Amino acid sequence: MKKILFLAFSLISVSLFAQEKDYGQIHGNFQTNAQYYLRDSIIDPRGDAFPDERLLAAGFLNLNYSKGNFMAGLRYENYQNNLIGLPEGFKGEGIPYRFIRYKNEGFDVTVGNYYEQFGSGLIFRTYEERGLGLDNAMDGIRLIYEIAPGFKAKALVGRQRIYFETGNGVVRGGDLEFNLNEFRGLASTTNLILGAGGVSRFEESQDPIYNLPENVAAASFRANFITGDFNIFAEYAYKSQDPNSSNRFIFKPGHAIYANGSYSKGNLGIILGYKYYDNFLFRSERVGNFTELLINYQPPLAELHTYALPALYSYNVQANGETGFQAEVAYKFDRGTAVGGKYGTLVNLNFSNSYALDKSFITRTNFDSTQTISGTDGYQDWAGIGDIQYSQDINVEVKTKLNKKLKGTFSYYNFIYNRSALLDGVIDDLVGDPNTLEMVYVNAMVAEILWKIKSKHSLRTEAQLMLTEQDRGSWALLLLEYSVAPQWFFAVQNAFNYGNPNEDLRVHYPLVSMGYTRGTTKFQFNYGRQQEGVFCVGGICRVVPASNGFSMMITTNF
Amino acid sequence: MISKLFKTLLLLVSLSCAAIAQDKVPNIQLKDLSGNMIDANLLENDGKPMIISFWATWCKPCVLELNAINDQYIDWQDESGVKLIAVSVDDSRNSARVKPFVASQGWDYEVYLDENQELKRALNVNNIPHTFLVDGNGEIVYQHNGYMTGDEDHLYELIEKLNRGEEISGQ
Repeated sequence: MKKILFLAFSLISVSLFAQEKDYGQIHGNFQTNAQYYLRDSIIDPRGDAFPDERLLAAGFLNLNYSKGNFMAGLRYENYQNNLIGLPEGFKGEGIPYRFIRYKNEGFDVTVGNYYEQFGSGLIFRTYEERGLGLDNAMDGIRLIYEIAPGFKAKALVGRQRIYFETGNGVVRGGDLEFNLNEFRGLASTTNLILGAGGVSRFEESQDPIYNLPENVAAASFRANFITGDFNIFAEYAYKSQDPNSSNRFIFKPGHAIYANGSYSKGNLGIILGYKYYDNFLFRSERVGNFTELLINYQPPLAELHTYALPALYSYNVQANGETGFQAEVAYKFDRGTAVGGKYGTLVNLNFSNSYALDKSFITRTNFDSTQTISGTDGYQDWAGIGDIQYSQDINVEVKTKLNKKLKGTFSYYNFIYNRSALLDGVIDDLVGDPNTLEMVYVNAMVAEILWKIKSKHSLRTEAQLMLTEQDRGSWALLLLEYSVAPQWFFAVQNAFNYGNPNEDLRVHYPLVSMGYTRGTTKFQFNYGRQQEGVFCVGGICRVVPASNGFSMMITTNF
Repeated sequence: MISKLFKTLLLLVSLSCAAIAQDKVPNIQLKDLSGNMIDANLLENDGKPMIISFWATWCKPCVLELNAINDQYIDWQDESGVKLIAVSVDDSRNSARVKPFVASQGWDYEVYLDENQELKRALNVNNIPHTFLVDGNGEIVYQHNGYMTGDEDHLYELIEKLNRGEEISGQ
């Protein structure tokens, strides 16, 4: 009986397909990472980063179905167990992400999991960054409705994902955006976009000491003015009293400003940015670790470096407040000019800095007669720029074509990096004398040469040098990557920590890798040592421990 | 056991046949550099092929790929009528940089922002760069992840095949 039913079903489906009926489309992707660890007593003498199990593997599969205005999807995830350096909370397997979405006539409803962002994300942004192990997807309902041309409203409610569960806090939000061009029904290079949003979180409190607010609200206003050449954006956000584990349970409201202006014309691009984040970390539970249950996103306003050595000193946003500037100028010198040479030269200059806020702390005497800021207002509203510097980044990049077959990118970096705050997590409240903080002063250079040997064959070389007297001392790195498009690549890399103050750690970190692409499937294998480093995406970083071993990655799309 | 597996496979194949028949860009909103909203499913190129390339300002191979194509873009356009649509997945940290960045690179592409990566997710893009080739009927006929120097030559060969009316799926 079953057989007959099944045959009938497949026949029907095949015959319907032959008639070209629209059954919608199913697509997806799949990725798996596995690593076999080798014990390496030189880079990891105590075996801290050596797992009990030799092989760790993690993977996921996304499936999306769509038909006309209807979409549905799910993601299966599997961690057996998660790779070293990623949050251990991801353990086991399950389907933590599934949704159904329907869009029609300016009406858009999603039930289940969704990712959403209001404005620049200062009060609300749920997103996914696999490399960091960050996924704060909402699980609930979202409505998006175009009230009239140019007026878009969003409303949502739900709880956030934490590993294979959802957090206790209920998150509710709404956002309204006005877009002048949409309103006037024309596409123009001059535009005005205004927006306002609000988010609130509810979490029960039975705290024996503090009368903690169960509802915490945040609101923001934003404006974006665009002409052909200029683009000015500013957003201000406010958050009501939110005593939590990150701000050490102070009752001060939060403020945030994020603004930038840019000018682009011809070959020139200029951008200026400003940030002021005061007590603005927002989670759907009061107590949370690093990347867990974040409701909002504070843009770091610092360049994201991707060359391996400069990336060791990447900036991450400080949870308990910071302020800073960024300025960048990019210009392409035309070919035939003195600087431009035969093919043209692109020069990019970037500056950014970050400081702690100038806080006058309010303290009270704790039951053990020590002084604490917990339970007070913490410090004054609108604190200015403090004495503690978190970072400064000056860098220059010159990109040029040397001849028909050679392209070069040359860059120079100068960093001031507050290791105590950015890496060791020392918070400014606890710093008596800023001079006790460990600052790292870095000069680094990278030369990247791309040689197109013949059609589809190329050799890419990176030579990196990073000089510093502090921290782990100076490094040099050389990478050679030979590729045969569109299928193969082979790479060898060696990083040498020749300036480490500890002579036993002046070691080489050799790594060989190979990749093969077939259709939409990609295989990559690595073998060797990986230096301890900081892996950052979007201003959130995680520390990756030193490791030695064999790793594999497979990704595919269908 | 085997017959069960076979049945499941058959089902999947028949389902995916149905799926392959329709391979369009999904209905997700993108923002252009002047803040105008556009539905991604309405992107088109007058019946000519179209490249959709996912990139970000911080992604070196992405920029390398877009520069390599830009070097030949005028010839490509003249010969094949192809158009490249560059979709930036920069988040609010970097999305303000996109416009000055594009200006200084001197790119002649249509550039859109996918700020919270909604289109990227809907098209199942894992990592960038990721490039799609869409034929004159708006159907996705090829996709490629990653970039190696010379990939652009392969892509252009496929565009030429498309223009000659040849089948290119599975390459």
